[in-house]
Amino acid sequence: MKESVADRLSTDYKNLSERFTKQTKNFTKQYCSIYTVRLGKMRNLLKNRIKKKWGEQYPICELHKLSENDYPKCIVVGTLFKDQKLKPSVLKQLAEANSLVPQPVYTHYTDDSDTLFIEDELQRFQMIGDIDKASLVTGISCALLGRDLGQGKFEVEDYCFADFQPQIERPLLEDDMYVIFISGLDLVHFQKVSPSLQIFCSWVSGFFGNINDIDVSKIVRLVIAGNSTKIVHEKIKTTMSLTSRATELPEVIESVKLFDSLLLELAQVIEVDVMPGEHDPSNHVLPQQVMHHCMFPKSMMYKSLNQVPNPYECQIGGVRILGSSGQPVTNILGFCDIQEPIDALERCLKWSHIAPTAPDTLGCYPFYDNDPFVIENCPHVMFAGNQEKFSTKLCKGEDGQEVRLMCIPEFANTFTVGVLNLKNLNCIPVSLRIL
Amino acid sequence: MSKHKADSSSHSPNKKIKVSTVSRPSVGNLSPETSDLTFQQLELDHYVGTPYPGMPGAQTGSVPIMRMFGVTKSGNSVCCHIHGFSPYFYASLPGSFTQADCSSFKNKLNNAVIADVRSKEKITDAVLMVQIVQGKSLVEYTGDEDLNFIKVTVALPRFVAPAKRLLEGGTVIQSYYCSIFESNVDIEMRFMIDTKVLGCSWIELPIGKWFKRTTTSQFKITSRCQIEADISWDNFIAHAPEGEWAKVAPFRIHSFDIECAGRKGIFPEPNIDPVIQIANVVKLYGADEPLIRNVFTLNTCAAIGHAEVRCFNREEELLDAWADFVRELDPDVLTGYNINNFDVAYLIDRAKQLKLRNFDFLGRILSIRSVIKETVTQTKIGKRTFKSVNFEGRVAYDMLMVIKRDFKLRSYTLNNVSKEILGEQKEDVHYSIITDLQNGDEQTRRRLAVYCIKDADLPLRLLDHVKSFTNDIEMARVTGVPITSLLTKGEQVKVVAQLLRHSREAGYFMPTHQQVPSSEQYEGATVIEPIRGYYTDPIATLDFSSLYPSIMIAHNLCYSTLLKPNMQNKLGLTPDQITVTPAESMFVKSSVRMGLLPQILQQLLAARKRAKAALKDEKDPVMRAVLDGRQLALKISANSVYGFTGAQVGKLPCLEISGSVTAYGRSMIEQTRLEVEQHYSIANGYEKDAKVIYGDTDSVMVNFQVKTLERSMELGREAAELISSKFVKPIKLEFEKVYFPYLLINKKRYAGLYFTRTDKYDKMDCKGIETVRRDNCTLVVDVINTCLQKLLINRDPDGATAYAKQVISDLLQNNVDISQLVITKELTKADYAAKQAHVELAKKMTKRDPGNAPKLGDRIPYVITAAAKNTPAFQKAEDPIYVLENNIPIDATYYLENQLSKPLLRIFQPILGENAESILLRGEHTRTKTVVTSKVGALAAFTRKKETCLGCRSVLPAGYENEALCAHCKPKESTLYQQELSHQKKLEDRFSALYTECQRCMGSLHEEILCTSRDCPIFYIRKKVQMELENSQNRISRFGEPIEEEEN
Repeated sequence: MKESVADRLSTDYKNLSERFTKQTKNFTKQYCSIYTVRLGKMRNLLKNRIKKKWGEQYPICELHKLSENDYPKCIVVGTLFKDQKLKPSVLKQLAEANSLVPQPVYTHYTDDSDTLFIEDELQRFQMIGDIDKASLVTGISCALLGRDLGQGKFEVEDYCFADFQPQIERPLLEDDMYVIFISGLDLVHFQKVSPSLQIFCSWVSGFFGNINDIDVSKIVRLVIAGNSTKIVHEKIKTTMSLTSRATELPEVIESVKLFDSLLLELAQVIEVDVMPGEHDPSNHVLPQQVMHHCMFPKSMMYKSLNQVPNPYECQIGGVRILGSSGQPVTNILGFCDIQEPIDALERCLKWSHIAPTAPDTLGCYPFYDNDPFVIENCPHVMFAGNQEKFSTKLCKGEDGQEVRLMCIPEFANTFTVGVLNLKNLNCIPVSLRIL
Repeated sequence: MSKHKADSSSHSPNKKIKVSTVSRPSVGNLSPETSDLTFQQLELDHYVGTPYPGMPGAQTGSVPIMRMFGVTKSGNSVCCHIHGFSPYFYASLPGSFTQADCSSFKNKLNNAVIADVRSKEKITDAVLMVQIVQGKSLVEYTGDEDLNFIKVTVALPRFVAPAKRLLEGGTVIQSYYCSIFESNVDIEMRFMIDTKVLGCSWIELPIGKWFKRTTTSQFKITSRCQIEADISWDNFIAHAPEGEWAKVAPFRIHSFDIECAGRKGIFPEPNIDPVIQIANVVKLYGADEPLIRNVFTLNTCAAIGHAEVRCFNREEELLDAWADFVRELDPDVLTGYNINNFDVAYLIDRAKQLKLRNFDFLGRILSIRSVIKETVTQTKIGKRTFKSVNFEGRVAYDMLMVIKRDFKLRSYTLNNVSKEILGEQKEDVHYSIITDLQNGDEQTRRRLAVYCIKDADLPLRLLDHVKSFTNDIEMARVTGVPITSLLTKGEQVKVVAQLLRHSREAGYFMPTHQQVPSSEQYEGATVIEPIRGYYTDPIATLDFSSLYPSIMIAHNLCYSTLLKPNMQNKLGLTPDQITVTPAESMFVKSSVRMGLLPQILQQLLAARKRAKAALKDEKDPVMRAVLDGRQLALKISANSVYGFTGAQVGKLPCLEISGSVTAYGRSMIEQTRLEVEQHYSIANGYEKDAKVIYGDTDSVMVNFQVKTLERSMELGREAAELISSKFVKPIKLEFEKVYFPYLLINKKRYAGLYFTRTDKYDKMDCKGIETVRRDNCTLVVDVINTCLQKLLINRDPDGATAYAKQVISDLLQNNVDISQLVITKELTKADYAAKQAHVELAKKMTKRDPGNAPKLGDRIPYVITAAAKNTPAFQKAEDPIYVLENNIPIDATYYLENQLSKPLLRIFQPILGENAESILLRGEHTRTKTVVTSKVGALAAFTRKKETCLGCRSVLPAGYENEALCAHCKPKESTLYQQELSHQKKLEDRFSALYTECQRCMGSLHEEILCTSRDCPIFYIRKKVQMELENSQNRISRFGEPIEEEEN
């Protein structure tokens, strides 16, 4: 490592992302299995919540047994399904491909006619009653208290989610210790980001001095949370066939080379975790796999370069960090009326799931023996990359869990990174904009 | 399949869960002394019984009794016996016949009829009455004087035919051969006409005039209706369907679907394969939500949220319980999809096989069993057997028949129909899986039940959506025929009914037409020869509104005004009292006699105007549907009169009328052309010479050669008015629309963007262009549609050409999804004279897997695959799934030459001219072809696949087979890797989009997708994406693990 940061602090690090990488990917499976295992896992998590919230006075009933049992009031557990007429649909796309009449383009798919259903392994019931459908999305597991109205309708009186899971104790750190989060480098537009990026590199290298009173030597790690090569999709030329061969654009290939050089520079001075993002050269559905070494012939030589999957979970200095390059949060915002990404992130903790809308509206592998997105251990820090602006929030669980939430903005548009202090979980944005 | 832990102890068969009440609302106290009985009749028939004391008509022997079934406003079912009505007909008389001859005539005829029928029972009175009546024959004008006819009333309908024959034969009246009138009118129709009962009209039995049957009354209860009444035929009131009486009673519409457990490869046969489930959905007419939704299952079945489940141990119990359910439910209308030919027939045959004695009492009459009647109809395509089943008092309203009657579709499977009409895909569980589901546990049977319920739900939703039942009720009211005859009888009966009603009022008798094959021809509607082309100027269209009806009204064309050539002088008619039509037939003018058809037509058109006006003011959605159905029925009826007069194998063809109508039509189109071109000319002060580019039946397309829509519309409106004034009223030329642009391909083949206002087009209008032909693959339909849209909406002929070229190039490079290339044909019989692709394929598939062999009646999807030169097409058909799995190459040339080229050339010839063919089919874009190597076939056995470099496709040297790239390509590894990834990403994206779509369509997240709907555009793509993904993953894995193993 270069001299300037030779006295940089180091700390213990554990990559806890195995569940995202060590799974067989078998596309002959269907999506029903992931829902089944998700519900199985969540049912266990929900049990405690149900007991806490409603005691033991109400029976827990499987949906298909509702009609024969005729309970005046009972609890059902299942997966939510939100029927949304604006939901993008391949069938509609195919039909529209044949009509030149421009179809309205939506980025937000909610509508007044949206309907909620609760579904378990066997049954689906429409949910009636006082439930805030605007803030819910498909794929959430929950428990409902209410009664069967007949005709496939269930009247909801109250509901609960699995909520914050147990958290390991956070060690007391003596000293400040910083982790930097950056996302959305958009290197295809190198000209635009290059000056700010230069400053960033020199700052991290220690040549720039301290910014915002952050002692550079106490920066222990850098997490690059996706979309390093680009941040927006080009509109793909429509072809006759849904399976015809797609090719990568030359400018993207060029940007990967730039990324390699950038990583080379950074890895020389700091430990770097590189997550793939939606538009990076990894696979497309979640979990996105570690980017292949053949694309990083220069930087891969450094052990300090750490290619990781998306979502990504690790433990740095005893602090558990879990996050994604932002797709789950962005997707949730598209299908409900939650306004702020930071709120969506908090909801994910409440729902105990990183990406509830996968696979319904967010692509994921057809897992069949596990749902790796279930949050079984409450992290200390949870982040989402590639959001419009920086935001942060400290939220607390009922059992004293404390979680720092962070939305990392797109660097190419905000020139801002997030800096997290592991000692106190404080988090601040640092702008590197050149005026 | 049984991934769920079945808890079978919780459901013992026969345990009923939350059984909702099935019966109708109770009647309460109802007494003929204190209340009337008013109901809407739906079904009407007659039976032969014994006279009811105190009623008119014959008092002894057997008498015909009319029977009406209907529903009261409060939903009670009614069976009403109507007494005293006897069948009759008319016959012409010799001039010498007087009142005094009646009595002996009656005796003579009576004896002759009795002798003729040779009945076992003793008949004393076959002929009840003969009367001399005054009137005229409907056909031909022979002067205004009424003539004497004899009205012969007989005791029973079956005496009509012999009486007619005897009178025609000249034996009853010495050497006089009677002409017979109205003997072919059946008693139901006769009765409805005489009592002014229209189809689906409200019937009131006034206080004190009717009798109620009870368990103690002399006449026993014969039906399952809640109320059974008797009345004399002249005592009830039939309300015209206006105002309050336009409403529709809460009819019970019962839709059902059955599932059978077939054996592998054999279509279910009722003598072997059990019925395992019957799903029922019942709705009241006009209600939003179903009244009842349930399913009867054999063996246990887990509960279903939105439906009641009734489980049975034995099939016999299931069937009997279902029949009991139907009887208790007492539906007015039975519907479903293909129930006539399958479900009902299967149930009845199955019940017979199981020796269930009471199952088939499904109608409303206690003593009548429902039986299957087979009718064989000979059509151009071949013999077809149709089954029908009687349900006295209930209407069998098979939605398959309705959809076939009202819609022209590529395929009539329930999948396709719900896609085309409701715009939604339907999960399709292949029948080979049904038995597996049944043999699973209560959860798999539940899965099946949910599917079965959906199939019972859909016909009802279709019925609501296309409003067919409402429209048919209105058609029955407008034309005065029972609603059942709209499905079971042809078009003619509707016109006959109207003619008879009007004849009766105007004093005409309708002759019984002897059907004789006629070779007489008349010229059809011809057209102005089209000037083909792609017009970018607005083309105004002038339409004659209700052309044929208005011609008939304008020129007083009717049976009753027809003047035979020799009659003009005989009757001393002056030329100005006569119209000689362009077809050289003669008709008297309305000043001499107003024709009956013009009167009927005028009434229909006026009634339509009223209905449309009422529709404008009506707010209630149910009544709006009723009124809209009515105006539609009136329009159709008015237009069908012309067809009736021209139907040579019809009830009363009159070629003088139909020939004259078309001749007038032709001359009017021609005259319009002349007038337009003369008036709208530079010589006459207009900016350009107008040109009529095409004319057909009732419309003329005019190119005013102006550039703007506004001007074209203005001129169009003006021209319509100008030319209307030159025709006899009520003929009216209307300006309706402008096509802009307009692609005129040929006679009856054109497309254009349809404007009725200047700011926005209404639609794209295509006539006669292959978009629905069943033997085309969807690629053709989609390509033609897109090209037309580019031509018409985008006004981009270059874009359309480029697109067509792109498609051809994609096709040749194997870039078209297989689902777009699938051709489907029904396997109707095993042996065709000529070898056919789908039949040969069926044989091939049977050899491959006898268990899943296609059966007669199956629709066989296939694609044409590449094969050695000169292999006949029928040998090249292959199962699309097999093609996908084995990577068999498609015969792109076949698709290009036999499917795409003709329709494409047709629409491009007006644009590209004679060069179209060389531009589209032989251009640069056709040079690149992708060769696919098959995994099967003759050569596959000899080729050994060697791993090649993913970059340059060179064979990898020994020892390096597991590498992704050759040494030469290694420096480009990053780029090549990203290319592979890019494809993988796209496939993954498709995978998740496709499979979640299917989950949504199926309505479940946690259950496996079993659907095999080959009508669904994504069925094959789903499979293909899966295979491609596997392939792509293999390629990527050759680059090695993303993180290099550490070398320790």
